[in-house]
Amino acid sequence: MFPFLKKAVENLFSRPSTLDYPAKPHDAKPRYRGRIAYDAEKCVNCGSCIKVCSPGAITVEKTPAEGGEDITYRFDLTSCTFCGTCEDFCDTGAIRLTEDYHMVAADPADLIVSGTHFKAAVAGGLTVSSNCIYCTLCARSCPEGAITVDRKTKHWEVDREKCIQCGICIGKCPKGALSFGDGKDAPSAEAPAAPDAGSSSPEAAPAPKKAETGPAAAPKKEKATRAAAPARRAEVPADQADPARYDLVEGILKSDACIYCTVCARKCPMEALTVDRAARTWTIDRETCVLCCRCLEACPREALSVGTFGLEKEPAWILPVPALAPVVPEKKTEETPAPAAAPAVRPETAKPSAQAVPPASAEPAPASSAEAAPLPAAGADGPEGILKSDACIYCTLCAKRCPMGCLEVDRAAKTWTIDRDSCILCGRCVAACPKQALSLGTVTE
Amino acid sequence: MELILKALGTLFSVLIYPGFLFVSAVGLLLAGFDRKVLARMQKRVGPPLLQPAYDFFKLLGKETLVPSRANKAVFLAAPVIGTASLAVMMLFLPIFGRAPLSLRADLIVILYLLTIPAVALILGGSASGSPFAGIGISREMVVMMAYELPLILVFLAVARKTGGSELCFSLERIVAWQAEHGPLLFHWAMIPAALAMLFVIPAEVGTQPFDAAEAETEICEGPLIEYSGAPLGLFKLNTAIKMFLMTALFCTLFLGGSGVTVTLGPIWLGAALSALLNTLILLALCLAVTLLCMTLVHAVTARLKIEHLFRFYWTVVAGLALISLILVWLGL
Amino acid sequence: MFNKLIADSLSRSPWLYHINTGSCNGCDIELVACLTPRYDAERFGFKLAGSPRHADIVVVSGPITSQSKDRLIRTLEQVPRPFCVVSLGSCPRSGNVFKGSYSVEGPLEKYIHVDVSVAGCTPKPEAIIEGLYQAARILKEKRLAIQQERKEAD
Repeated sequence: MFPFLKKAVENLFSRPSTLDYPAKPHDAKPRYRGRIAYDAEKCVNCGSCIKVCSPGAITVEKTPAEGGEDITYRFDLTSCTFCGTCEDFCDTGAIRLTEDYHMVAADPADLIVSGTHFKAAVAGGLTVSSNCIYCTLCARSCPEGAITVDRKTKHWEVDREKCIQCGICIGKCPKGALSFGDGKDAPSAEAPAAPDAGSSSPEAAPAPKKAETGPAAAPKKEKATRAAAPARRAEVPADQADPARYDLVEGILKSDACIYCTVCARKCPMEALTVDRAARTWTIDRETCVLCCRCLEACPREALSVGTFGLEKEPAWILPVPALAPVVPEKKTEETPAPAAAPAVRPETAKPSAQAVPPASAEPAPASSAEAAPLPAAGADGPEGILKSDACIYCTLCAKRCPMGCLEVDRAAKTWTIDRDSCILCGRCVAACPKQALSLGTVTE
Repeated sequence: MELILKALGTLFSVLIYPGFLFVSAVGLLLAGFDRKVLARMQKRVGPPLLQPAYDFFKLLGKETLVPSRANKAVFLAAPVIGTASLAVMMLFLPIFGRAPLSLRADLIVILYLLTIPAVALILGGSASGSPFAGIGISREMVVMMAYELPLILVFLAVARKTGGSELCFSLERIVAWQAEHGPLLFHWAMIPAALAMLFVIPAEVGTQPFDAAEAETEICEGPLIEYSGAPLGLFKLNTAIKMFLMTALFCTLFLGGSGVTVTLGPIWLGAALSALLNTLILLALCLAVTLLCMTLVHAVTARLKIEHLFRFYWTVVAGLALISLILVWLGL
Repeated sequence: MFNKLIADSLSRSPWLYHINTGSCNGCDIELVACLTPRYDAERFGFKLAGSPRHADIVVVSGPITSQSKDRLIRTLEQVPRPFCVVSLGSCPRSGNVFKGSYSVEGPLEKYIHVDVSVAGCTPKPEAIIEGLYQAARILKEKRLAIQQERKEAD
């Protein structure tokens, strides 16, 4: 009782801890989920919010208007649980839960947030161009489940009844193949409906056709790669047999400017760096390091650099100074003579570099396809595919990013193989590559 | 003519000063102080000083509902009886001087008058027919028995001390005795009795921790549960008035004295000024006693169970009062 | 003048009666939080009353379940006029996520006119104080309206 007595008297002579609330405004904490703000202009009427709203607080009303319809969304705040799911599911950012908590009204109509936008009627509906690679991303993003895509039969179809023309799929398409047709695209909309219809249309012809030829060729290619890989592996140590080479091993070096801030370790995609701030140690796992040099860019003190250094004995992780790039698995690699010539065999996209190119057979075609690479070049005779230059450091990042699991990279053997049959050309590997070694181009046989 | 004037004077005393109007105003103000200081002790800003007054006037404006099972006459008359007895009681308390209605045995009358509001509460509660009120009134009766014994012992000690060989129950004479010999609080034999009286005040008023009868969190204010509107307001007023009367009684018994006499200008002006000053001094003293024995205790304690309350009063508090009584009887 | 004093006092001393009609307890806790030292609703005379007969503002939280419906109606009948009804949170107004349940008999508007709705799930104590404050003002208007009625009747 006496501690309370002391406290009571103390409180009597100290300032009260009461907020002077109605007199002074008091903000909610950041990220408080309060009154809904709805931007009708951003809304595409996809209805995702209505579907995810557990208390059913969101309603939509469509009234016909000239040349389309007026779409009104109503958010009933007296029914809302303020869970924020509608905000999360809104693809266009039209719904936002603000930090405004002053939701008090004598008239419940004041607690309804609404907005109207006009949606013009679309004549043709959703159409797909010949760029379609049947990756199924559009079907997966469709809130109404109106799109069906069959990768095997190269079939793309939209259910016009179900489609609400929200346009989310258009944003999702990696190839920009979808659009709301306006008459002229109308025939091409039918094209994907049947797989063979594509070949009849001259524009749509190349992609499916080539893709069709792909599967037949691919298994052979793959086998070839696997056969080639061990051969190369055997040859590398032979190449490194010269002890002088060990003096010129490339790797990340650290100067005394290092402040052990751990930024480099956090930036390392391979988690090859460990920095102990307390012990002031900086260690690198050279076997894991792929020399992507992100740590160099990240270092606030510019304490890191790439350099060469000598080694007593042969390291297990050899990364010779000019990265010896094993080639995209092609039949060619099999054909080329196994020894020293191997590094010189470049992928098709690469421009002829300073290095000697013994077999001239591959020369003419790549030179022309290099420019046309991103698009399915009409003149090229090979199908479109991911190409790899010799800048590749076999870091495996591309394989990790591949949504289809069609890339295989072996760091030890320095091989990079791609299953062109399952590749959907989404381009994620191209974006992921730290050395910009990957590109889209025409695969020459 | 003289009779009419005298009657008017008495009416003025009963209704205005120092009767009903005066005690109501002062009581509500005192209750406001209590709530404000209590809030500050709990680190709150607290309600405005006039909050009990607002509460009272608000209740006057509310609809008065009478439960269908209630005895309507008793239900409505109970709060009025309580208020009337309290207003009359003030007439017996001399404010540093003469009281309008001082008799030979003021203390005994006061003892009875103090019981009446509690009895009125019991009456009203039992008339309402609510089971919550049933529990409330049984507790109220226990509380009454608990504090009556120490209160009687305190009165006896005071009467014996001031009366010498015989008992003196006249408040006016008690005050006069204190003016001569100094306030009773400073006679060490009377200190236990004063302490006992300080404990009796919160039980009589019904503030925490001695509010088992009106525990709003467990039995929803017990006897008051069915009351609404003006009768409820009167009950709330009764509590506020009791708060003032009990502290004023303490001041009269233990801190009494001659007060201040102003001799300024004409006689009536001096008298008026000294009456005003004496009233203000009394109010200040009452405030101090309220803060000490009600607000502070309320802030630091939790509600006592009814059996603990009873045991506490009949052992500790009654014991304190008895010590004083014995000491006084021994002539100390 | 006396009437004005009473009406004024009414808005300065509103006592709350809180009835939980199947609430998840979130709103109930936030209402009690209003009485804590940090928010201290007693500054404006708000006080939690234990009996509906002492109430000026009836605060309803919860979607009104079949079990609580009769109790709610009985409670509301026992509140002396003038009084206000405040709905706390989304549940009493709409049923919230319990909407459409076999045991939900809401919304509250079906049984009594709701004077002030405080939205939120749960509302912040600041919002509740704001709502109660608004209800207190409505209380005053109601009292004045009753006076007017009486005058016209005379």
